[in-house]
Amino acid sequence: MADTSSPRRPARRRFASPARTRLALGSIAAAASVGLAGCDDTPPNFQDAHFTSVSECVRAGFPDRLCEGSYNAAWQEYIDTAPKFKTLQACQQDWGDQQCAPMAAYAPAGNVTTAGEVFVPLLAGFAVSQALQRRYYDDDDFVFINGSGGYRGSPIYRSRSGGTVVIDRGTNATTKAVSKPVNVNTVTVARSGFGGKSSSRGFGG
Amino acid sequence: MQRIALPERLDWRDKARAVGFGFHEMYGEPYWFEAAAYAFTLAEIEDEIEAPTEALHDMCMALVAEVAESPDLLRRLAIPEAQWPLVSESWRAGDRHLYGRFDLAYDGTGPARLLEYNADTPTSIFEAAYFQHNWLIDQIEAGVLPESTDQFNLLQESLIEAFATFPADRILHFACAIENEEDRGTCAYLMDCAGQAGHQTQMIDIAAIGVDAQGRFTDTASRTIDRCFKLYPWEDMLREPFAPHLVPSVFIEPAWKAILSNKGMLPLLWERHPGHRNLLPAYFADDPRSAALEAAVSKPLFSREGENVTVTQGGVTIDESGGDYADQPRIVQAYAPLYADAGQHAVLGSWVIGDRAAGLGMREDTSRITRNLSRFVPHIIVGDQE
Repeated sequence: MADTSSPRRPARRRFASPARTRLALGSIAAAASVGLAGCDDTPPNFQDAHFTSVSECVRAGFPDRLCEGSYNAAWQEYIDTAPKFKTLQACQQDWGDQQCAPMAAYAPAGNVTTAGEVFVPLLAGFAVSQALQRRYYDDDDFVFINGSGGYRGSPIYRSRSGGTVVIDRGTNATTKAVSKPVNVNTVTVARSGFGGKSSSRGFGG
Repeated sequence: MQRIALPERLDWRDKARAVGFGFHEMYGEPYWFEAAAYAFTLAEIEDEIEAPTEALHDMCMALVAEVAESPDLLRRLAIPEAQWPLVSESWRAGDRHLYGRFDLAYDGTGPARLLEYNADTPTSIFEAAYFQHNWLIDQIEAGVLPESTDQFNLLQESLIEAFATFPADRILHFACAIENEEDRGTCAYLMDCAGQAGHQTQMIDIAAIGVDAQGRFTDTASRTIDRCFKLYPWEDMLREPFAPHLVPSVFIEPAWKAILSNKGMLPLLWERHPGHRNLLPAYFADDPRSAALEAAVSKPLFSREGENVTVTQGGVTIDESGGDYADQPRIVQAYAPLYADAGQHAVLGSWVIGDRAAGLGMREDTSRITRNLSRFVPHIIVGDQE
């Protein structure tokens, strides 16, 4: 059976690792609770949550004060750090036709330090970070204002393609902002639009 | 190629249970079967399986590029017209794919022949990638197989590599029919590979997917589903109530796989590569040439697990399977005998992960039509004499 005649086939394994180790499963399949034989459809606690409004945040079960505080801090961070453009056209070029407005429309006059009008992408939502949630539950009296306890608000923008993004500034303030998509929390209006065929038989083949 | 008898590991059922491989028995029959193995030479694997698999994959990708721009061909493949833009745009956007499994007929003598391509919702990946590999290591350590024995299996590392090419910037959801043990197991295993590639993952039942007021898909915590592996056929998704909300770049496999997970691709490939050694003559059922095939297999465009397949000899039906797919357009393909031994017919499942041929899984069945009662049998590459 073995092809020993051909000189191009050395007497060694080609596919299986020479170290001959057994394969390992990671934490997901290996954990008994979410093993191959089981499943768990509930989200873990303290995940970053993203909302488009305070009411959505409250509906998702977060305390009013945490939602409002997060929103206000995101707003402040937005005023301070939103990507700024000299013309409406330049902003729309990067963020889409319906996504930009003059900063003056939002900020108190004194906040705009640049001479002339400045255009910014619209604020599309805010994040309630994992760290902030933990902090809130550890300390009932914790009041979140932007910058308090080292936490800053997290504004969310809507990208040209319609996705929700956060601006990742990195550590260096002069670094070009990189937008980073996120799973935004929203309100489900319909379910069961897929899976109409009897599901007990499975769909693989 | 040879089917050989081997002693089972005494504790393999415990090992299956320990990793939650509950479907090692299905429908009351053994599904994982290790009292036998298929033995190949390295030349057979390299020249007759691995290289042809990559050649077939290349032909498939070229076919997708053509069909995605052709209304006539999209119609021929019974893809709903309302979803043509989705399918075409997902191709033009370069949506990445994860995996697929070519089912091949090969008996160690002639070339391997493509029976069909499970390009959209292939299963049996856990047993091929993980359980089969660890079986080999166990049997070498037990002295049952020589040290030099190998296996065509780069599957798990290739899956992790392929998942790493998707950005891990948001939750990667995994949608499947959770109540089905095999589908759930497949999803859990792929989630595990994605986790090893740095993804945050979440399983969701396919029917639990929701939409918000903007038409974005949502999970049970009402978070948007931005990227989602689905073990659910495109031919169904394209026809269900949420189809109008589908956009490119969300689901894995991508929408353009609807072109390949479609038996209509078999006559299209044959038309473009007539006489190719790894293809069987194939025609749409309404093509008069289909009647000229002496021994032929007729299959619906969309069918899973060998349902509604008919084998004919000189126009007479000699084998037939029932199922739920009877009302569909069909194709007719020349009959290729499977490797048969010990009352079993064997089909090779040759995996493509990303864009490379990455491993092999063997299934055997007492029937010529490989169905959901088929069983998975490990394979080896026989080592050179030491």
